[in-house]
Amino acid sequence: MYEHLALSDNGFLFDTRSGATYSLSRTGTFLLRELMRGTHPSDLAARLTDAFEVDLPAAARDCEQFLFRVKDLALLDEASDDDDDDPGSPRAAEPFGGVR
Amino acid sequence: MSGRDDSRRADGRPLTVAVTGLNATDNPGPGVPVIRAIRAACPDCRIVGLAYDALDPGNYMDGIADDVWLMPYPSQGAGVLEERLRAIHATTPLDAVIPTLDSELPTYLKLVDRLRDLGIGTFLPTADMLRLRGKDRLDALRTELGVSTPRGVALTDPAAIGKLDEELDFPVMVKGQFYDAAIAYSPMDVHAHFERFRAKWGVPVIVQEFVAGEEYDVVALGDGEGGLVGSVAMRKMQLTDKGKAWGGVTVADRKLDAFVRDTMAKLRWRGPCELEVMKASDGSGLYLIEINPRFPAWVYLSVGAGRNLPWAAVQLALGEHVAPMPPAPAGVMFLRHSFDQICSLADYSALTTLGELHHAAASSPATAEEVAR
Repeated sequence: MYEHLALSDNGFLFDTRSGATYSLSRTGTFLLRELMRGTHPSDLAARLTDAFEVDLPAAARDCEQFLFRVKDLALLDEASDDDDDDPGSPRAAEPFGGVR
Repeated sequence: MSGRDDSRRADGRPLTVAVTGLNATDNPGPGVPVIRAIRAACPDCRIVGLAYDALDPGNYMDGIADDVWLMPYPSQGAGVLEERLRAIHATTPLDAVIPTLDSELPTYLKLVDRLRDLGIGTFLPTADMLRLRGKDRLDALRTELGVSTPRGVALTDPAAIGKLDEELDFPVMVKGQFYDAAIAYSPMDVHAHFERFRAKWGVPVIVQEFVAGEEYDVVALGDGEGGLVGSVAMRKMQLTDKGKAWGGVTVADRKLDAFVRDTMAKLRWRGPCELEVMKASDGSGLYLIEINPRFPAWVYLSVGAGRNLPWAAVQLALGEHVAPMPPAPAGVMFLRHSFDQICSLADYSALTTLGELHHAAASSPATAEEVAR
């Protein structure tokens, strides 16, 4: 569901469908990478407390804001679009030389 | 490219392709990038630049045209153009010609058969297709061919503006038939833009429903039978003050790809074109807002994306088969730049006095003294 997003290690995000680019903070990069790896949104706050010195209520608030922002940017709104399209159309995008 | 030598003809001379549109201002013609694309696939091809002005920078750029000929303006008619092409062909036999400017297409279309008789290939839309892509015909594309376009009307009489809100929802885009566009929030706004565009470009003035969203530009090559040879979609990253792309990045959106395939199939487009497509922010889908019947000036991006569409157009003009290309990858970016080209005064002198310039004959930056000798 995130195949259209290319995220570099330094937090540069490229939406291959829209052509939009973003610069993410260190925690934003961490959270998006977790989502891209399949972490459920409800588990994000716990992952954040594991990786950063932050208490769970603050992490939960930050994650909520992050998810709201991601939705606001329409990064995930069309996540299922590809499912009903031509499966024979190769769309592999590796704009950072394979860094995902 | 195939295993054979694409750069040579059967008689051993180099494959020779003529390309127009060598101006390279901040609103450049597509000629220079088209030539760069051909060179990328066929370094040993001979390229003949067909220029309308001795000051077109493409005339003098290193590694662009081997020969440059000044051409009569399209307004002088097909007969004059044919005469000039015949004279060039007698000196430098041409295998194909790729016109790249909107304004010259109708004239070239009149010559397609005669050029074929001379052994000069073209791969262009038909006159009917050219009429179909007119801005005043976009609404007909929607109603007659089922292409998704914003609802619109072509106005010739300002008296009709008062009834626009019966047909269209405001805001609307008001467009000159050849150039210029402005948003209008009321019939009063439409009146003001109508008078301005009528004075500048004549009638009709086109009024279309405004589609809020992101614009994507697609360079495409159609086979004329409903098939798509290849396409590359791009989002502009920076613009000139004229709204022209000065940087962009390829995108990979399957819905956009499907839209382009579907549109090209419905139009049965033959040859190159640029589709301007709006992706509506309200989620209502994709809308075709304009078709330009030639390669865009950013077409070299197609080479960067591994889909060399100008070279494919040359092959098709030569009557060769070109297999459909897979969709282009996302994330290939271009930035345009400008620089000061040092030119030989002798070269400029040759073009202005003789109307032709042959780089193969070797030229170096010449001074006024050398020109006078």
